[in-house]
Amino acid sequence: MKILFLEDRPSRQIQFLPHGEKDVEKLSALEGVFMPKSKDCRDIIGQINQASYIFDTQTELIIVHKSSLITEGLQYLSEFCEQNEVKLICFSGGISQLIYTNEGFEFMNMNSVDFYSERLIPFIERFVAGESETLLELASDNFKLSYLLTARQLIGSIELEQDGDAKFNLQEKLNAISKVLNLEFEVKRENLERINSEVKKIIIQA
Amino acid sequence: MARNKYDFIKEILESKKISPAQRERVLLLTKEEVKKDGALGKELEERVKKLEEKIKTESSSTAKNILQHNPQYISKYLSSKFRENNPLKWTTHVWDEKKYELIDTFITELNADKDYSEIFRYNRDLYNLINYFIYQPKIELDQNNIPKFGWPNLHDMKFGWQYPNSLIIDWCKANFDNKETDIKYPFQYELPEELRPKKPIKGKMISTFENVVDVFKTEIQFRDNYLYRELKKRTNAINDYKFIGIDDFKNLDFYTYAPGFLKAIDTILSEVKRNETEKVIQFSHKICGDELIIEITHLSSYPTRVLNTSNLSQFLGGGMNAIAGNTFSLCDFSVVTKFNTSQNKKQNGELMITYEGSEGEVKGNEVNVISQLKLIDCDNEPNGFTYKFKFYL
Repeated sequence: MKILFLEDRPSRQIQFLPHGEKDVEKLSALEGVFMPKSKDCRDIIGQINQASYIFDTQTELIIVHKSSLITEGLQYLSEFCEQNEVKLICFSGGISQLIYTNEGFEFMNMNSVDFYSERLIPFIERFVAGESETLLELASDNFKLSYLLTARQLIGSIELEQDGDAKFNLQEKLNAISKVLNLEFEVKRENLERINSEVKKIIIQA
Repeated sequence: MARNKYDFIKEILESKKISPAQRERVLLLTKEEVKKDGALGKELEERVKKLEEKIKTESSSTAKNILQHNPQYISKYLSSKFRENNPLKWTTHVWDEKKYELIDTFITELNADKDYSEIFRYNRDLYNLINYFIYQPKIELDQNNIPKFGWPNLHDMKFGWQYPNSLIIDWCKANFDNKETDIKYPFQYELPEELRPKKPIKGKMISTFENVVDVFKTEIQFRDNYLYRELKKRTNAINDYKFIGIDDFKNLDFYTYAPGFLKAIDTILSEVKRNETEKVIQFSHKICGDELIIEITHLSSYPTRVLNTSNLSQFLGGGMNAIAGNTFSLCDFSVVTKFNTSQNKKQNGELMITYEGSEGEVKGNEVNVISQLKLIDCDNEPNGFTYKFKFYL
């Protein structure tokens, strides 16, 4: 098993996946994906919340409905993922902003509607085939370009920002983007020309 | 001048200068004292009892300013109301399914849930925040027709589901109610220019109701890396101290009134900065069943203030009082260290400042603990001065 997929409200899958029930069947039949149903799913979530679930050592990605986890469960899951370099996707209706980090392990938080998009099944297929590089592929086709453009904007904002707190927040965001992009150079003011050249490269390729 | 023991006690008890905790202590000592006085003691005991009853009656008039320490209620309220399936959940969750046909049905369900009113007895800031975000608090307008007051921690946030008026409800009636196509959800509502905060809130400009909801969510819950980032931001600003263990706070999610705990951390950092010789601060947390314990230890630092074992409250200075007030009913608060006692002894112990049954008194914007503190012996050798917070999950 490569992917453990925990959705405690299967009706949501039918509602949001572009082809409803057909997509759910396809998802369940994918090789390498373990998507337990109803009671089995709730049992596993319950064990995670009690910090007692034993994960399959072959697991490379865990997808879970975030609201089903309590503090202890999320901590247990995060620790397992960090120690074993397992990727983690949390989705929920309570998440309105996409959050992605790759510090320690790859982790993404996204809204249920954005998660159950037309990109989900192709992403899982690529992941199982070992062709996926980052979880961000699930969020956007042009994540690199988006991040580069955001970085450019942040560099400008940091220079203009007077408030210490806000400056710190902006700098933290820029540092996180630098880690996500994993370029040969650090994303900062001094490398603005190199950032521009990366942007051009992507636009020309498109 | 007091004529006898009884008059003297009466003068003390009637003095406005002593706190309820000190008054309680005097009564306790008096009871012990009168026992020594035999027959006369019996008579005195009766008179003290009457005095005690009189004080109780008087204090009931100030009861509205008294808070009960009940972190279990607050934690349960926040985690169940905003996570489990009930109307309040839909004040913060994207409406990913059409649960309601009419906005009025949703608002009626919200207003029918009166459980939040209980929070008034436990934590006023959280009560006010929920009131502004969901319900209809009393409104006062300035000369420009803008509400004078906003959320307790973010005064420029002057918007909620029913505050300052029914703007969002009216908008939903036109854009959401009974719509099959071109439906718009409440979170898409754009705030009128005059109700948008002029400056960014938590790093973002607020223009839609979704932005308002996002800020509210971080006021009632430490989500994702919020606590970690806030700790990092604060400790980065103090260059000459070493902070350890902060990385362990990544992804620590739990419900509480976040500004209260962050204010307590600010006070702790101001306190530790006073000690210029010991410069290592350790942050740690552990989850034991339904409890989350967060400890902040100023390593190798021990109190110079003497612990009067007959009157533990004397140990509390301004900083410690502020921490207890800011975290009142959010978590139990104690300090663990090697104390210098009034008997000239060193004692390893945990001084419980707020715990089940504690009471606080609201004075302006502050909450002062008025119950007696408790000292518990501690077997382990403390490695410094630890601020300990026990949250209930």
